[in-house]
Amino acid sequence: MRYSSYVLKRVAISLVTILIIISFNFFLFRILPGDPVRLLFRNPNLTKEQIDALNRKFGLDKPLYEQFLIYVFNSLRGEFGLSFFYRKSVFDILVPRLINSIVLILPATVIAILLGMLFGVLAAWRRGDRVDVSILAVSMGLYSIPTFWLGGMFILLSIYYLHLPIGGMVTHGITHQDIFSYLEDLFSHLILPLVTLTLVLYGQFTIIMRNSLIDVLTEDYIQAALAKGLSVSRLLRKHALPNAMLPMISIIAINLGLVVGGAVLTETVFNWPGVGRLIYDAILRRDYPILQGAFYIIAVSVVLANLIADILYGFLDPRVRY
Amino acid sequence: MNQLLFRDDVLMCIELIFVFDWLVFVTIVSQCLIYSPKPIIFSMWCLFSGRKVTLVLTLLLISSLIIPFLSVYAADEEVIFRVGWDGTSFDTFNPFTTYAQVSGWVSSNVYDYLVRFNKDYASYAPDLAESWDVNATTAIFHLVRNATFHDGKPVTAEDVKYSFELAMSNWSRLGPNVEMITSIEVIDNYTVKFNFKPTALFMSMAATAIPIVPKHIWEAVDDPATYPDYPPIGSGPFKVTDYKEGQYIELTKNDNYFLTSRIPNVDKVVLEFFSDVPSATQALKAGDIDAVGPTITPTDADQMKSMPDLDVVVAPGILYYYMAFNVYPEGAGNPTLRDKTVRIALAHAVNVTEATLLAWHGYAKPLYTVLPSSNAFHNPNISPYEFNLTLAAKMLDDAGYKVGGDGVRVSPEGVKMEYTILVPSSMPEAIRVAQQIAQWWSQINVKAEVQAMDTGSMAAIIWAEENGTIIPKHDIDLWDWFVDPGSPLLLSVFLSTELITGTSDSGYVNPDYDALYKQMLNSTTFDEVRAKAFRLQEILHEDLPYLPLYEVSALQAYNKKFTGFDLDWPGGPFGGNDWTVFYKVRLASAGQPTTPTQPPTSPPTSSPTTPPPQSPTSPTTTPTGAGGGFTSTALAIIVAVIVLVIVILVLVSRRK
Repeated sequence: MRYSSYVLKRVAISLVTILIIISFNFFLFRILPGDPVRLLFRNPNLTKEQIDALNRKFGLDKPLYEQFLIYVFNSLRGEFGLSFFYRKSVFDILVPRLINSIVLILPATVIAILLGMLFGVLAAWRRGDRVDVSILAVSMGLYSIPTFWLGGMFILLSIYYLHLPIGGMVTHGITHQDIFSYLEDLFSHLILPLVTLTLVLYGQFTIIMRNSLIDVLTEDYIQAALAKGLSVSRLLRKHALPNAMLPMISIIAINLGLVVGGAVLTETVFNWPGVGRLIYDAILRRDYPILQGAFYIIAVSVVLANLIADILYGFLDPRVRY
Repeated sequence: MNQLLFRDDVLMCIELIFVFDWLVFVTIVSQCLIYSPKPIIFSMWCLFSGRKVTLVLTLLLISSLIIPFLSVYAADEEVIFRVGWDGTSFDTFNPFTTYAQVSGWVSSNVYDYLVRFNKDYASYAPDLAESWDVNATTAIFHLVRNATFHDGKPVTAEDVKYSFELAMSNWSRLGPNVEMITSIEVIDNYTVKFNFKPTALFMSMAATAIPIVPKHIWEAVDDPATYPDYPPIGSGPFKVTDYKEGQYIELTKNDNYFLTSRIPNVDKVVLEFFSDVPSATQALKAGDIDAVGPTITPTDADQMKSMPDLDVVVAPGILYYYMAFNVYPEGAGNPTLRDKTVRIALAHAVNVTEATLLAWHGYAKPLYTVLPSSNAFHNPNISPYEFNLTLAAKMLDDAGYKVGGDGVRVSPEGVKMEYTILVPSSMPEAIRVAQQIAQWWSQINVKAEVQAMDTGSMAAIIWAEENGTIIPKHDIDLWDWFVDPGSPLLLSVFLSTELITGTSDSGYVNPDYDALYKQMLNSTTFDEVRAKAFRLQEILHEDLPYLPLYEVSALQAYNKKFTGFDLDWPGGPFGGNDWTVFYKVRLASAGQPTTPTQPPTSPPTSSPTTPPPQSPTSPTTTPTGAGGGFTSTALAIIVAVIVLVIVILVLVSRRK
């Protein structure tokens, strides 16, 4: 198969996936028991007429198939409708939240990937000795630590020693003098959630990097290269890593795609106003339009990231094209 | 408002640049991966192999980390009172469509009303109306002449009439409050007259509840039902100057407020939203906020009492917990619960006092009627069902509920006394109470199983819909109500019509009750209303569709740096009911009105180990310039990390 037709095929599959996800999203949330209007407005003053009026306003009085058709049509045009809770366009609520989430999660993911690769390589090279064991132990530990516990520890540390802000994105109620003071404020609020999230994400990258590199390092051609007298860094960079990178690329793609999905636990612990918390609240409130909008965006970005990974894969490892 | 929009845009741009910075970084890394025939794995490593691209990239990365520290800022000369809110999140500024408590709190500071409730919720303080004349069918209000909206236009009788008409629309949340109104007349620019069906509740339900909005703005709105009303223009003591969804609302004092006695003492009030109680209390301990509401946990309250700079508020509660029995005649729950004797026997087998202690460490009081004691219509004369397991067992025996072979009682019709108690999973203390109650009941051979679930799933069982009608399918649920201190309207939950609106979780049907409730609404004096409300509560106590358990005090905390507000307002000063707290609050140390507060990102005002700051001019440890406590710590951490990474890289690349 030619490379271009491989790419085309991948793009087509991605589009179909997105379409399936759009329809799935609609029914997924409606399986949740509970009626949004009744739940949102548990209010002894509410009359039957008012409940009917609210149902009409949100289109919940229409039959399910009609709601579905309206929803699919609107999703394709990028319209997500009116949030039940905020009574405001979903788009206006999602976009600032998305940006907030990306500011936190993208750097955390990137740093975790870089650190993970660095220590993964180190552990694989020193496999079996003390360096490897300690790196592996730390990675396993961080991978299995509950996010909220780690976050809580950082908060305690901050209250008594570090004196960093422990919640929110910026200090509220002040007018920042200039861009720099705003950035500094943002950055100081970013440190704790960023460190927490990075540590939590770090483990998986290290472990996968280490394992896939060990597989490669035990191959005969590595022994041959060593016997030839290649330097270690040259050996790693030119012979071992390119082959060990393949599993990493898929996991990196998935993680970069999930950047827009928010990090519910970290966002909750540090009161970060991101998408993860929005989704969590929306589930409790049965706010279907928000959920549909958010899941649509997450699905599209994961599919896109995977598409890019597939294309890269085809380039790096021509065998997968066939 | 121009300034506000400008600032928002700038901030948004900066965030975008920040994101873009990282995007560029990722793109370059991936490009290295794609284009280099010998893939470069990560940038920092390549610093040592002398590649220009990665050198530039690394410099860019480091500079983006360093730049924020180079700035110098000036200290803000404003007094800001920061309140953390950990309750239901904010929904909208539109006062006619909001259902969130915190939104109502903001409305009560941004808008004026005709009159306001006093703390006792039985008398009224003047607001836009300086005097009024009320009888059973009419009310005349004389408005103040110098009140203006935030945009400078005067508040007139036309605005009052228009606001009440908006409230009467079918989409308005406030519709039920103004049901009694038949007509509104504007007598002159500053006098307005209401005609209504005979009732004594006009003042408490309508006059105190309808915010007066500017007609000239709302008239131009296409669809007031979906109008977000941001920024809201009212005539109240505060203006909304900034709002970030999910983060905060900034209220700035209105210097032109017509009532000089209610001009706020602080420059700004910032309401910060928290997703859960622990993160809000942590922020208070760290000094990021100055007060927290509407609730903190008993454990935190106990701990905060020992902190020198914090104070705990234990105010009359507006929240109570109850057990509802499914008594609906056509319901699908266990039919034995429709027998009044069974319910009374079960009530005798619940030790309310002990359950109260179990859940709330002494921050709750047993409650024996369906209106909490902070409510103006609470009936204090109702005597509790005494905890007596022997009596309970005897009552069941006498009524023919004999113990069956497996140790569970069986009704004369052969139905086992096996119940499921539904409890919201978000209320751990309620789950504990439900388990304890199940334990007591097991001693009289009644089996109960506790099921915790989210409120959506609970609602789907309690108000299960079958072929367009609602059939309650639960046996018992343990839930809570927030009760408005000024109105007896919670009693409507027991009307036979309320099952379909999803408020009645007992399915109680009693025509006498319905009739008496109607009479209460149409009573013409306050005392008459109260007498009827007392009687309604007695009926409920006898029939027992609800077994009230306990009312929870409003537990809140604040930093002693601030003072001046009431501590015993029903629901507490930070519970969303107290409309006076924001204009009353002031710095404890300050005689003078303005005092510098903390500049951006300063360290917490005082850590729990240090005594509260005394100096009136600097209530915080103020960092000046770029070298604050935080900056140096963070810088040190970053430098350490960078050094560490470089050392490791050097070690790795040198290894042969």
